[in-house]
Amino acid sequence: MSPGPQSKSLSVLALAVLAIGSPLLLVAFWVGGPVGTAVAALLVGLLPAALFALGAGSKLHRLRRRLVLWLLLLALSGGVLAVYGTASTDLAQVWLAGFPLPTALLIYGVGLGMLIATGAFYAAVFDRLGIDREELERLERIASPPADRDGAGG
Amino acid sequence: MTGLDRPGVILAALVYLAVVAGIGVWSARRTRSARDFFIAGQNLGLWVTGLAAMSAAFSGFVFLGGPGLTYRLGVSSLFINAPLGFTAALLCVVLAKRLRLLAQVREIYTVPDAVAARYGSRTAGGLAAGAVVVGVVGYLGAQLQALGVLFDAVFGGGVVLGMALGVLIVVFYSVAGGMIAGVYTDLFQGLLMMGAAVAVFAYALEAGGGLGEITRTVASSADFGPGFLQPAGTVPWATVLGFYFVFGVGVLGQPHMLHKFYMLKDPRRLKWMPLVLGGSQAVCLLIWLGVGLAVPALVAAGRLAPLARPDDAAPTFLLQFTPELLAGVVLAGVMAAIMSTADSFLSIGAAALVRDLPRAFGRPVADELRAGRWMTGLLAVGAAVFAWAYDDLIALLGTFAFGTFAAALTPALAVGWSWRRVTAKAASASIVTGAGLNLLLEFLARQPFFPWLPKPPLPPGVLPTALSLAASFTVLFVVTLLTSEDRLEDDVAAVMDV
Repeated sequence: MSPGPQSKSLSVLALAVLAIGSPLLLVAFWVGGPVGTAVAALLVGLLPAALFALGAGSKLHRLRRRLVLWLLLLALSGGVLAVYGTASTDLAQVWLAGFPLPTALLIYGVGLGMLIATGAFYAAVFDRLGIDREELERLERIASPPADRDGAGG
Repeated sequence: MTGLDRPGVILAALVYLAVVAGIGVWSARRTRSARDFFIAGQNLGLWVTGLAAMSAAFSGFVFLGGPGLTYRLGVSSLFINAPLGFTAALLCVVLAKRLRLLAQVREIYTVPDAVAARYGSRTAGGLAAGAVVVGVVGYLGAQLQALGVLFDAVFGGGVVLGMALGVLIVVFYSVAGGMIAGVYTDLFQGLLMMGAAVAVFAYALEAGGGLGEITRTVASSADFGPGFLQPAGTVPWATVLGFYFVFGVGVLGQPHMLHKFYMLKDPRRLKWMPLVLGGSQAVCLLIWLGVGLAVPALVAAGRLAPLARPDDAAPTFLLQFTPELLAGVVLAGVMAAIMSTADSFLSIGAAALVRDLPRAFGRPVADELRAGRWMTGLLAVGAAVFAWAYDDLIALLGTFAFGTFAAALTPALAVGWSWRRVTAKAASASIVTGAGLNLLLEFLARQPFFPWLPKPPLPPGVLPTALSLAASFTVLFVVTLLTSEDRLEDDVAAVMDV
């Protein structure tokens, strides 16, 4: 199985986001202020999205409809930024379902909504992105008897 | 009011303890090998694994520490929970399937085993084991502190006495049953807590007059005010964003959760894991949210005296605003949550001390099962002393421990198992940076012993754990780019391709 070009490009993009985003987040935390905080609010959502893409990377070419994945990654990346954005404006005084809007977004959107969306998406694409029977059989062929090997491989 | 004033509470707690003792005895009879002791014989189904992972993660930290932290910080504390929207799926996509398959092709019992296998490096595995021991002492300390608070609330006598009793009970229980006792108590406790969380949430809403009335009361009170309900109303944004980063990304470095994936009998059952794990976590968080908001509302309305100790929020609410039987079941369930999590940590810490570290030095222990049982006692005492010296909220001690695991292990595991180019030297440097920086910053911030040492030069509100995690990622990438690619073994490469 070889990853398709789209899988590779998404993996490279994910690695670039992680490699550049990590030191940038360090600086953003250190600098603080409105700019530093806005950058941090973006990065704390973007980095897990990049880890998702990197973790699934080699199999993404198997997905038929990638639009859902992109929407999911976009929502994940922008969720906290949306909370930060609304909390910094008059929208913070608007109430929704028992809470101020930014808090409602955090609880119902970033938390509960994402839980249902990511869980359902993972179950729906498991046969393509998860583990299939061929892979299990291939691994069993590759594996030497477990008793002969331990963690560090000698 | 203590539990002694309400006999039903004591009765329910005793019935619960009898059930747990029964599980311990039953498990001890089934624990015949190191494989049973450390990974429950790799024979668990989806629900047991999912609920065990949830229960290992949700403990005194969530059920006692969560409401306590909300009482002090307001809804800012929810940034710790918000990442649960994606963490279960993230675990499955990035690590769960690979770790489970690795356990199929190699004799893998621990997370440091997985680090050693990935990088073909005993040094990297040994460093990971060292970080695990540090994190275990912190996390176990949080559990014992929670147990002390709980015993004090129910029986009186003080937190320190409660912690001492907790050490005795947890050590007996863990030495007897190892991981099998842990996972089956997790299952029992997980089911119990999910039911209890729904009931307590309903009572919290009723006591406060409904969610809208609770939030209006809190927002209009002089003690709490509208900022209490805003995402960063009581603390700087750097703190809440740090919470979100550490608890969102750092979940990939938590050995007590990752370890559970080794135990799954059929790896294809992972398909439903995010919904089972995430769903059960969301249900249990109703206690954090419900009690965390209801108690400030009751204080604001003058129906409850202000709390001297924020960690008393959950026990106080349960003893004063719920029926005796429910209070007893929930307090017993919280005790179960603490004990099952403590048991998991004792097993993981003991494995690091008697298996991973000796192997890293090329001197494996002959009888790991026997040595593991001795080490559980030493770890528990060390953790209790550490918690007593730390002297802060349960949730903050838990955050330090979670952050230690996160900063030390997340980059080496999450990026390392997804990208072949990461080298053993990079992984080792990342582990040392994450664990070392986090310990150093926490020590400088809290130590009273050397007044001439400076406080860490951190901007206000920035979490040491968040900085350490970002630094650990950065070091991983920099050292990877500066070192030559290692050769991967065929089976490890095959697992990474899945």
